[in-house]
Amino acid sequence: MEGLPNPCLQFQDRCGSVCGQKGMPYRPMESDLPLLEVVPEIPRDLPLADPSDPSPAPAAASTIEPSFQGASIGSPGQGSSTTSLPEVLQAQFKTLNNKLYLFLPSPKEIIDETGELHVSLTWAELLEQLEQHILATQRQWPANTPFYLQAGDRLLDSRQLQDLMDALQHHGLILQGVSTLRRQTAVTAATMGLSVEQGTFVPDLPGIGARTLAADPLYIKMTVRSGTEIRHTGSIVVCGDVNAGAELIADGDVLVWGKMKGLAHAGARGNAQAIIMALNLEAMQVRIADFIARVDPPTTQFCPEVAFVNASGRGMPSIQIVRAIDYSAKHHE
Amino acid sequence: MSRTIVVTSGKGGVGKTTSSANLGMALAKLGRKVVLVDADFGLRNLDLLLGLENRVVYTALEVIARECKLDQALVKDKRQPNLSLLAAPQTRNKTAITAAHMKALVDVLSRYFDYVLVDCPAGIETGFQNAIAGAKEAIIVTTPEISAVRDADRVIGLLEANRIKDIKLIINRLRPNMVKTNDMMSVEDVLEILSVKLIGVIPEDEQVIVSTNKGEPLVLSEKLPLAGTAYENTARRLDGHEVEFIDLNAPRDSFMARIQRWFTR
Repeated sequence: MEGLPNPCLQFQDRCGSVCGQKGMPYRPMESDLPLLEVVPEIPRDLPLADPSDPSPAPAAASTIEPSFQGASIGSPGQGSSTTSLPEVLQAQFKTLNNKLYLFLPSPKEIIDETGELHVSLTWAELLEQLEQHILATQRQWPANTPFYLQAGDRLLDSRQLQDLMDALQHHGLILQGVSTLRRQTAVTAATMGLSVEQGTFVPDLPGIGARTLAADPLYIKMTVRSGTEIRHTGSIVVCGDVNAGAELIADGDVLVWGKMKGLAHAGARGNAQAIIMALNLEAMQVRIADFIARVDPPTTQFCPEVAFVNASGRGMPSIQIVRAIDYSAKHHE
Repeated sequence: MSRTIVVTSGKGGVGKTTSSANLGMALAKLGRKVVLVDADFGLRNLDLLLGLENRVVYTALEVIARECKLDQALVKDKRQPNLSLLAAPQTRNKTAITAAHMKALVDVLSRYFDYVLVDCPAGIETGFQNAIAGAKEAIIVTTPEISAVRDADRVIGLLEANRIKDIKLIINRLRPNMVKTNDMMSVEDVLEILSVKLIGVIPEDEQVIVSTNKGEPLVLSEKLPLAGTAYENTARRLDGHEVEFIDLNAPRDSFMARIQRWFTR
């Protein structure tokens, strides 16, 4: 999440019950936590945030088309070197013109208060993420399927390329070629006998770019466990439970066909039309665009629910959680 | 076919080492050749629990550095010759070896033993990464506490990402009375979150502390305490047998009767 969303904390009705009740067995809550004050005054720039955000005002926008240029999450140094580098949040596969591409995210550099430089998403983390991605999406390929690497801004040495080849060989994938913005990576790949493309982004495919990557929903069929963070530029669909401690961050919607106990952030780039749906919404907190709502301990009664930003009613726009049937009725009238 | 199993948990103090020692010993009693590998470099305990501290001459580090032969470093248990121990060095820390070393070591051991049980350090850093390097299967140990279960969930995710898919669960230190009064998570609660195969439920037992201090695993006791029986059952399940779970809610006074019934079965 780039820059914490403007916290507009609202206690909302949940399935008709009044929020603010306590009684979740393992998670005692205090209503007087300073952070969780009910803020009566209007958050400063309502509704959806950042004036610097070039994306259209979500209230007016009917589609989710995040603007990638400039609105990148901490991938420094890009923009000048390329014209259409899409932002890749996590390692992901994409088939284009019958070729399988693997997109690698850029390393993120964070400078802390003391001025020290930290690189997040190290190589080991990336490999782990990739493996989890394959596992989660249950992708399977026939043996010796060729694939092409889009390394973007990431600097890769020969050992890392070898790691990647080894890891993907387990899944039947053979590395054929590398596209990179980095000269050094290009040289390394060439030395290893791979075909190399440097300096541009998928030059032979003019149509590819931000939109194609963003449009696909990410389909995940597994239990998403604590510590797993799934970020996607489109919507995320999970067929399985999302355990506490896991995070789903989507620019589009978040749909969970199972229990949702982790953290969900829909419309992470400011789209307040995004929704969060779950068969059983037990998340501690839901976030949509710049809104945050604390969720009440769920009632014992089991019902599919939808969280959305209610901007039409009286008062401040805020996140509401309603039963799925009520949501559908309301939105189809 | 040899099996390499890492015993891990994420959270510390949930009973990884106790479980490793008892499972190892129980499997050895079943006639399997077992080696216990202590991967907790710098904080070794497994030798203490097994009462083999005074017999450790060489450790895994010397084997890796080629300063001794592998069989010189393996400590054979005199009470149960099927069981051997490869101790961790106490004077070094977790950076002393790499994942590649560990994998090589475990691969060699798996040629000579039916079971290679790796006792993993707490945490998910280097030590954990090293310990799981050579393993094909994992046993997660957790207690019925929300923090331990949360960490176990994280570890299962990491294991899956490291291509260890065969994951089994031991729930340790369960207190049936507290479960009954809803003061403790039940076995079902834990399974609902973790959704992995359960192979053992170990009740809280004072005898565990006694046995740790004596350096004699529970399963070696003449009169097997309830936790010891539970460990034996767990080992048999691990070895592929179908064993019913003990009814921990049965009244206390029929406790000995149940044990006897179990033996005469």
